[in-house]
Amino acid sequence: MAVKVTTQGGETKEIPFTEKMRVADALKAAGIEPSKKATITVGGKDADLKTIVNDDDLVVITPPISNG
Amino acid sequence: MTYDRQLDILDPSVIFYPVTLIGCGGIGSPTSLVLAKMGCSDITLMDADEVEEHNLPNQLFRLTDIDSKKVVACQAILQEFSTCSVRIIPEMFNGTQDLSGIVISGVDNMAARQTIWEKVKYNLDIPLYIDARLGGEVVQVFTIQPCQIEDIELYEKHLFLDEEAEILPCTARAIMYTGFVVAGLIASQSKKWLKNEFLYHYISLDLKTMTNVLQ
Repeated sequence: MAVKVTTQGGETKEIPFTEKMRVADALKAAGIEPSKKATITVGGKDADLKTIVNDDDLVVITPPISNG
Repeated sequence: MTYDRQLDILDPSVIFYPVTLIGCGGIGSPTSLVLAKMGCSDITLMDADEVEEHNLPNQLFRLTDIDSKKVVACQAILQEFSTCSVRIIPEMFNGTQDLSGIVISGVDNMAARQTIWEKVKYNLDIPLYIDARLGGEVVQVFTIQPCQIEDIELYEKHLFLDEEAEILPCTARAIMYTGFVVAGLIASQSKKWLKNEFLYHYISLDLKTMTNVLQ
């Protein structure tokens, strides 16, 4: 039972899944502190820190990028 | 040029619209080449910058293009590689220039994107707006119909101030293959829109972790 947390441009970490886990818990367990304007998806859908995470979910943090 | 090998994918005769590329750097320069080769016959390039040595590894330019205006160098390259008609505007977009047709933003900061967006939003002369962004190995492409409320809401959710952008180390900002990936995505999104095919309005692809977000 695990959840994957990926920071785009960074790395993917696998953390143990726990019941009633939320995105904030997953990020804390992965040691990730997203920037204010980063966007979060869980299973490809928009999410926020309070979104419930299920076993085998992929949480993706996308940083605000702006180069061209 | 004959397009026999792509006619069932994209027949250039369906590209009715002129294309304006704002920004002719890491995104704009490879994108201009891909669009010209794909059959876009009318491309306008807009950028005030000159080619500098640090641009050579990740932009389309030749060694001999150093100190040339990017739009001039890019125009010369496109004319060697295609039959596309290329117009150049060697200035920064400041909101006063007219825009129409398909508009593609490949600028390198959010303030410029905001200026472009103010011109593009609800503009009936612009049926399609594509904004691409790069950051290290992450590429993002927004494919927006500027009069569609859902598209406007999606896009504006991803506008932010320059000081809120991720700060990448100078040595981890750009590499050539991301430019060609984003160019391919922009061209593919343009083709999907031209052929009325299903398309995602927001693509964020990380070539490092190989994760994507599609919405």
